[in-house]
Amino acid sequence: MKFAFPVLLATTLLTPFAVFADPRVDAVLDQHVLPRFHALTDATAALANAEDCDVVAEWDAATEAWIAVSHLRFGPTEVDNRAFSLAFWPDPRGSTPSALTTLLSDDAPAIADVSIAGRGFYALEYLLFDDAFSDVDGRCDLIAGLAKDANATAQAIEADWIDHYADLLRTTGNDTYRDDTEALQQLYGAITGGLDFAVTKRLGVPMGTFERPRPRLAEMRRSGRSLDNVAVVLESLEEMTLLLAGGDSDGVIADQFAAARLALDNVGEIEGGADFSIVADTSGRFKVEVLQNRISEIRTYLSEELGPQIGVIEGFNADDGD
Amino acid sequence: MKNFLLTTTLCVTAPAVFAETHAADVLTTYSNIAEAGYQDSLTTAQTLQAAVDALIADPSEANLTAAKAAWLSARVPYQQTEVFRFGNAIVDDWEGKVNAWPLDEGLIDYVDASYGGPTDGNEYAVLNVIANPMFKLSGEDIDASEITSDFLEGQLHEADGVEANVATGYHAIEFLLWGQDLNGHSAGAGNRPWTDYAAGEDCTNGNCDRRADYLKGATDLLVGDLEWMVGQWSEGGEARAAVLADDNTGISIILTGMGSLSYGEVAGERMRLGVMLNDPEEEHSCFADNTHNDHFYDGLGVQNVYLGSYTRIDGSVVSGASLADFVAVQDVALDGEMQTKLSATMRELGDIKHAAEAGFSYDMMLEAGNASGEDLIMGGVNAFIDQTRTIERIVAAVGLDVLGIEGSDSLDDPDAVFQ
Repeated sequence: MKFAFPVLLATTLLTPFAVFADPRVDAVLDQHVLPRFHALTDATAALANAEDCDVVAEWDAATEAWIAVSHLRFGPTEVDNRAFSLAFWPDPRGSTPSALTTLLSDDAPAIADVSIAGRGFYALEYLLFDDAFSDVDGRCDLIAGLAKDANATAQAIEADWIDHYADLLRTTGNDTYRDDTEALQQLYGAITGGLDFAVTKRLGVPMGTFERPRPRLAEMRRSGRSLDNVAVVLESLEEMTLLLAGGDSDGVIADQFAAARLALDNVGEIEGGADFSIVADTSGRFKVEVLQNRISEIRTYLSEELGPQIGVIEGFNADDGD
Repeated sequence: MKNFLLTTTLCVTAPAVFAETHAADVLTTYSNIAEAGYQDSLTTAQTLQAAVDALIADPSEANLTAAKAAWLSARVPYQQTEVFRFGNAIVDDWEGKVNAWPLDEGLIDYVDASYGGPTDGNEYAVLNVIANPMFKLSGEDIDASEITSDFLEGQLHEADGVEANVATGYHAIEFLLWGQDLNGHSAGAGNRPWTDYAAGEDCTNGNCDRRADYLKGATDLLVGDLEWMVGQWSEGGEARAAVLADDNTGISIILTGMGSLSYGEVAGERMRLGVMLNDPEEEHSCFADNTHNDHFYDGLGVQNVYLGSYTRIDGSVVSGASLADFVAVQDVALDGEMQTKLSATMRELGDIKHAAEAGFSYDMMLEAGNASGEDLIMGGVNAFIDQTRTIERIVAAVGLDVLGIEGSDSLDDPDAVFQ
């Protein structure tokens, strides 16, 4: 074709043959994806095996393990809506409390058959931290049931990764990934998708507009994990970005993430920073906005530098749309 | 940022003159289809407007039925234009007034007690403006004694900055014609009595005159908004000019619209979420039970712009140089893959439509544990996702980039995407 032939040619020349896996793909799989999904299995097992329903610490650890893989939304997490059943948020119509009410009713359906809004870490947060559920009948059993459900889901995701999905990315030339560029594209899209979700949802939803901030819509405000979740995201995405870039000789990637972490610490220092309730006042909102801008700058860097460097395009993601 | 990438691509590729000409022809066909689609949407909305006027002048069962039929017809061309939304800033900025969804209908009119009250996200979910000529909104006294188009558009729509406060557009009108669907997961749409528009003592549920004012105001507004959009795509219109201004950008706009509608919007937000939440309120047309058609005509719109052909409401065809031709010149196999996947999607969406029309309604499909319903809907979801992968391959093959989430903004302001 006449239009973009030189680009295609360049891509072809730069793309290694599919016989050997791209070392960057191997690195991301072996040092990021597989160990972190294994950590999710372990953390949800600890939650599921707790002896009583006082599981705040176990929930916290398992939630952290989930947030650290929450950008890896392709392949095994998308089978049977597994990721959604671990994490349904944002919840603009209050579906989670109403699904929990259904699950606590006398003729409750099996957990695996119920709306995703009643399952996973966000539903557990309601049961553990919301006053409306603090002493309802059946709370303890439901916590145990949801914990086991989450563990089963985490095991299924990890098993798929180990059994076949990692190999699809390593040995491309299959129906899912035609060449290494498509594998790199998938991994790159996970990073940009994770950054976009942090900017537009984790931070953007509670920020609302300047005139009308929405602190009550902050992610996991009940447990006060709102800011911690962003910290975990940054830590995990930095790890993945460095692996995908194959290094950071000039330190640019590390600098960008360090700047975001500094902005994050500035939010954390203030009373009300942990659950983003500070967005309700102007100076607090400004600090959250600075954090949002720092993350947006990482995103811009990826589009302008890392994407072209590894030869991938800006693709579509699940949050396109409204 | 995107501009930077596009410019780079342009410099590197230095397209041959005849290839450029070909891209321009593709963009012209695309713009012609948009213009015809919005013109058809306008024509059918004007028919709806006449039917609404007749219902208000002479309330009756027959006139309510006629207005509902006109609404259903109006949705056929409109849904086929949704593919123009993402990527075209002019459309995306405007769309919220016309097709916003989902809505907290309690803002507008009476609702059943089971609907609930104000939520974390929306204090005005049960405002009921039809019953309340005076109310407070975000601390301000609002005079709603006259329900006019200006009031709906200027004051009520997205009240308190909440997107679910949808006061205007197709779905507000749908609610005013059908009412709430209280059948849950059983067959049946909303069942608003025609007497909700009756005069004097025959009036049911109160405030029939204000309800009629609302319906009239919302319908007039829809017609006005569609007239404006037809102008944007006519010769000399801004939306057409934006598409035709640059070949690379124009082709990016087409692909962005196809992919974003397929994946994030319809497959994700509208279809998959509903099936995962098992919530009949998550239907795109939950009052009229027309959701199977919403998805079907969205899918058809994507296919239309790729194949460069749109069949109008009078049966005539608008067609010309297509994106399919353009892709085939570069990679005939890739074009074949795209056409196959678009057809596969239409088959899946057709299965949903056929089943719904035969009595297995969309809200029945959404019920928890209804395996065949879930399979039908997920068949559509997976087909949309699958076709998006091929759209991405085309984006890569033609050496372009998808415009970002609010990608349309990036045409005017490269940094806007990340603000």
